[in-house]
Amino acid sequence: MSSSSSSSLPPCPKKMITLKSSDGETFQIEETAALQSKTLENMIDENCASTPIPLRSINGKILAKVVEFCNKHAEVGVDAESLHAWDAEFVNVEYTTLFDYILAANFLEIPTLLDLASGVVGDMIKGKTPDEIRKMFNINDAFSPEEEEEVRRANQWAFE
Amino acid sequence: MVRIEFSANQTHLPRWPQPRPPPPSGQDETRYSVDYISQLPDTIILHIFSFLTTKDAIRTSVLSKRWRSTWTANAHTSFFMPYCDSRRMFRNFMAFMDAVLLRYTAIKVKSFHFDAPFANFQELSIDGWLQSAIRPTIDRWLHFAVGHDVEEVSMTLFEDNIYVLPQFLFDCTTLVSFHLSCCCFTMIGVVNWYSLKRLHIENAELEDDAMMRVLSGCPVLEFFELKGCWGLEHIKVESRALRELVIDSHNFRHGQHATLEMYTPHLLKLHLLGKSIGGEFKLDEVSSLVEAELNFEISTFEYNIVKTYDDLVKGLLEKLHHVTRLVIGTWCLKVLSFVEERGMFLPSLECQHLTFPVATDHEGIAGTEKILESSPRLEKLILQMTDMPIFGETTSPCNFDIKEFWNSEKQRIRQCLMHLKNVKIVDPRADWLVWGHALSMLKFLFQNAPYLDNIEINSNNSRLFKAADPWLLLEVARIILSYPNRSPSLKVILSYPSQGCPSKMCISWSSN
Repeated sequence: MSSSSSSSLPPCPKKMITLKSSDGETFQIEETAALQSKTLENMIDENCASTPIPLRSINGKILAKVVEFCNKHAEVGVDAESLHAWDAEFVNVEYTTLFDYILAANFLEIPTLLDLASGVVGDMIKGKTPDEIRKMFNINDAFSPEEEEEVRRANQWAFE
Repeated sequence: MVRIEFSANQTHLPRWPQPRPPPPSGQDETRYSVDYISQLPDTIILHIFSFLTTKDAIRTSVLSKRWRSTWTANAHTSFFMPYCDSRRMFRNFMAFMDAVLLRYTAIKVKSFHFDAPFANFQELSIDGWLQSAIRPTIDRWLHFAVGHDVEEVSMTLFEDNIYVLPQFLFDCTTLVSFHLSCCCFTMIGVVNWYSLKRLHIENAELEDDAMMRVLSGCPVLEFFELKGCWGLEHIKVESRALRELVIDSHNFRHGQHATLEMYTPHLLKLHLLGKSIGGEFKLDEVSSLVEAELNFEISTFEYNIVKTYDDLVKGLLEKLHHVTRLVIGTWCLKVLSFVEERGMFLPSLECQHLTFPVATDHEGIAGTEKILESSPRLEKLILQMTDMPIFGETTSPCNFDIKEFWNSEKQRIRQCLMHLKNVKIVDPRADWLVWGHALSMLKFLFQNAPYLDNIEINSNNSRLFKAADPWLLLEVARIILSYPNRSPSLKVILSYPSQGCPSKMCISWSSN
C-alpha cells in the first residue's frame, strides 16, 4: 500500500496482532476482534502489541478456541438469535474445557466469554445435591460426617 | 524490542491456582481425577455464584473445607420464597433470609433479587398480620442492599397492596437497574436515582404526578418498561438519555375512553405490546423515534372493532410515519384490513425495515397490502410466520384465492418495491397452510422487486424443525427457486437446527 500525503487516507488494512500460547503456537487475530479482551486492549493502547504476545497460561488448543470466539463475536451482521445458538454450541464441551475457557477469559478479561462459560457451570450446579456436585467435579476432600452435619445445621434452611 | 509477558504484576492478574494440574494432552484419566473446580480462584467461584440463587450458593458450603465459607463473599443475593400458606412458614423464610444476610461478608452487594410470587394471601393477611410483618422485614433487607451499594434490585411480591416502597430506596444513588412487581409506588419525597439506567415496573398502580417525579429523578434512565400497570394517563420524558420505552398489557382501568398519552421527544425505540381492554394510546411527541413495534391488542365489548379502533391505528401510524424500522402486529393488521375496505389511505411511511405476521387465514391480507403500498423506502421485509389466524375463530371466506390475489395487478405496491433487497422469513412453527400464503406473496415480490436478491429462512427457534430433517425447508427453497425472478443474483439462505445445533445452508440462484 503506498503512503499518501493527501488528507483522505486510503482504507486501512486489517490490523492484526499475534498471540503466542504456552506451548509455543502462534495465532493471528484482528485487532478489532482482540479489543473484546480488556487485557489485550490495554496492550494495544500502550503500543505493546507489535510483537507476538506470549500468553503463558493458555495452551494452544484453548487459545485457538478463544480466538474463534472473539472472531465470531466481532463479526458484523450476526443476529442475536444465531449468535446465541452458536454460543450454546461453543460451550457444549467437557467441563474441564469449560474451566479452561473461564480461566482464559478471566485472564484476558473477556466478559462475554467469562459469563457464558460461568453460566454453564452455574447451570451444572443448580438444583443438585452436594453429593451430586462432588461426584460431578471430583471434589474429594469432603468433611467428616460430623463436620458436615455442623455446616448443614448452620444453614439448615438451604438444605431443606 | 518490547517483550511483554503476563506473569509479573500480581495486583493486576488473577490468582492462578497452585499447583497447576499437568498438561491435558493424552492424559484424560489424570484430567478427570483432578478437582479442578476447587482450584479455581475465589473471584471465579464467586462469579459462578452470580448465576445461582443464594440457596444453591449456600449449599456448596458442605462440598469441602475449601467451599465452607466461600459463599459469604458472594456479591449477589437471589432469594426465591417457596409457596407459604401459614404464618409459620412465612416467618421461617424471613428468619432464614435475615440469618443469611447477617453472614454476608461482601463489602459490595451488586444485586438483590427477592421473588415471592405465591402465598396464601387470605391466611396470611388475617388481622392485618401480613402488612405489619412484611413491612419492617423487607425494609430491613432493602436497607442491607442500599447499605451495600446495590446496583441491581429486583423484587416480585404476591399482592400489589402489601408493601409500600420506603423513601430511603428512592435515595439510592448506586442503583442501576430496578425491576419491581406488585409494590405500592406511593411517592413520599424526592427521587435521587442518579445512576438508574433500567426501570421495569409491573402490576402497580401509578399516578401521573408520582411518575413524573420518579422520571425526573432518573437523569440517565435509558430503558423504561411498564407492564400491566394502571392509573397512569401520561408519560412525559424530556430526558435525552431515554432510548427505549415498552408499554406492555397496559391496564386501562377507567373504561372505554381512557388514554395513555406519550410525550417523549428524544425516544428512539417504542414498543406497544400485550393485551389491554378498552382505552387507547396517543403519541403526542415522538419525533426522534427510529424504531416502533405495534404488537398490542385492545379488546372491546363493542362488536365492530374497526369503528372503534381504525382511527387509533391510523393515528399511531401517522405519528410513526418517520420511523425506519416498524413492526406491525396481528391486531393492528386486522384493524388495517378493515380500514382498507372502507377506502381509507395510510400516510406514506418511511420505514426501511418492516415486520409483519403471516397467519393461517387471509384476514390480514388487505392490511398487508395497505402497509406495503405505503412504504416506498422498503429495503428489508421480515415475515413472522404464525400458526394463529388473524381473526381468531371467525371463519374466513372460503372463496378467497390467495394466489389470485397476488397475481392481480398491484401497481401501487410495485412502485414501492424499488429498494427491496432482503426478505427474512422467521417461522417458529412453519405450517404448509402458512407457507402457502408466504409463497404466494414471495412469488409476487420476485416478479416485481428488481433488486431482491437475498431470502433468508430462519428456523432456528422452530419447535417443528428441532433436530429434524429440513425436508420442508428444502421443498420451500425448491419452490422459491422455481419462481421467475428479476434479480440475477438471488440467494436463498436456510438456517435450521440440525441435531440441536444451528446449521446454515446457502442455495444460490441459477437461471439455467
